[in-house]
Amino acid sequence: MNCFLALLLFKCVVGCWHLESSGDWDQAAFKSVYVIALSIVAGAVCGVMSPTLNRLTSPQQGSSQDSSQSTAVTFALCVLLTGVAQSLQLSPLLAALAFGAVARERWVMLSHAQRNFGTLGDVFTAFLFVFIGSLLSWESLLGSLLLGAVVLAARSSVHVLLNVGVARISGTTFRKGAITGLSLMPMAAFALLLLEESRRYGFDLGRESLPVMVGLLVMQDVIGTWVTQRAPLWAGEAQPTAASLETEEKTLEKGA
Amino acid sequence: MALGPFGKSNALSLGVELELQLVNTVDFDLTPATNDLLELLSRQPFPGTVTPEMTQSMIEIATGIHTAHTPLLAELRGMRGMRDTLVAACERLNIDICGGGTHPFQRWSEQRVFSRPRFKELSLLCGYLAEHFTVFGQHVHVGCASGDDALFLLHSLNHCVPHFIALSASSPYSQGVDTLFDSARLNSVFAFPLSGRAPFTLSWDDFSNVYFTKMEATGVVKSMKDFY
Repeated sequence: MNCFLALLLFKCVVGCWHLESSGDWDQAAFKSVYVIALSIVAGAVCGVMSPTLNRLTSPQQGSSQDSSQSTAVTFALCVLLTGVAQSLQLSPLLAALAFGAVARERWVMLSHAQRNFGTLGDVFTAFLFVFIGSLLSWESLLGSLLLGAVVLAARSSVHVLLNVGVARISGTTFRKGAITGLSLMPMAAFALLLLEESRRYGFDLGRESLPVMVGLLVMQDVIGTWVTQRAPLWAGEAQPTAASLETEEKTLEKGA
Repeated sequence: MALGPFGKSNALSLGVELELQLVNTVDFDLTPATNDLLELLSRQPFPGTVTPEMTQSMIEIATGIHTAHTPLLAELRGMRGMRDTLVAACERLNIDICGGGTHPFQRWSEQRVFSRPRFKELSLLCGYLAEHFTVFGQHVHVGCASGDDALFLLHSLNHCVPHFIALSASSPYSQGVDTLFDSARLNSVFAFPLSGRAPFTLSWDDFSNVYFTKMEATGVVKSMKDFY
């Protein structure tokens, strides 16, 4: 939902920027209202259709074959939706988010192993980061690293402080609150994709801001990913790794 | 090393334990929230006993020890306070709590063993059986004045085991499929090397000095808790 709202806000900014720079109401409305409305409608329609399609194509309710076929249908629908949105110059991101939100409301549930497209999703993620790397202007990397570190530290401090502040009220401990704040260290892939998408529609802020942001984005992509991956382990909220199991075994053997 | 003296209780004293499932409110799959729930419950007096269980999506509530059926029943009926406190804590954590012998569609590989030495030891000893043990039961503990009495009662009740299973059957689904069992929960317990019927002996000394000592030498038994 955070992504959804951020994306809506971003599209409105793009619309305002067009209005300011060109004074063309039609163009501004097209760049924001048209894209927002049609993307949401396309995603929502697919989300509504998803359970019906799953029912129609399901061989036998409740079987494991049923589960894997439903997943295949849901993923296929999602890929089709983003493809159509891309070709119609809509926002594939917004359409996919609307699809996910509506499908979830309609009780289309995927198992943990299938979320994020499973192994295929992991491969796509690797390609995504290669694509993002190709967008960056590496000449300005060193110069913007310090700026990146300052912005990253400031943003993370705010996350940590706020989460520690509400930890007890929300029923958890200060330690877990702090770790939750750290785990929210932003990863830049989504922001970069947004900038790239807007650049295609003539929103030059994306092109201008990329060189300045390169240090921040690289730090977010490297440090943010690492911290977000480690934070659940520090909080004891992830499956133990092979190394931690080995340590545990040694500790128990010593105790015995 | 022999098992040691039998821990005596008043004859036919009773205590009841109930294991409960912690589920998320989105798709009602099990959620590893025991740590948070216990932390939250520790902030105020809890009307009863609540303890963690093998994996982090389970908790166990228990009555006190009673020497008669009527006060035990009264405590069970009066568990409303315990229930209300649990439900309020779960609401605050945005989780739900429910009963049943098995969770119908949880996946054992997604469960995490609760961080307690005994559970960790069992997990290292039995491997994936520990996560498979994410099943939920109601235990009625019956006190005995001596070890010999306990073994006599155990073997006397043996012929009632099918009746107990039938009375408590509430686990037809497991790991997302219809098992065609009414009590699939037991199959998770049977997988443990020391589950099932006790060897036939009516003497605590025999059980302790012969059977237990022999099993202890294999390395899979350390205490009576290892028998299911």
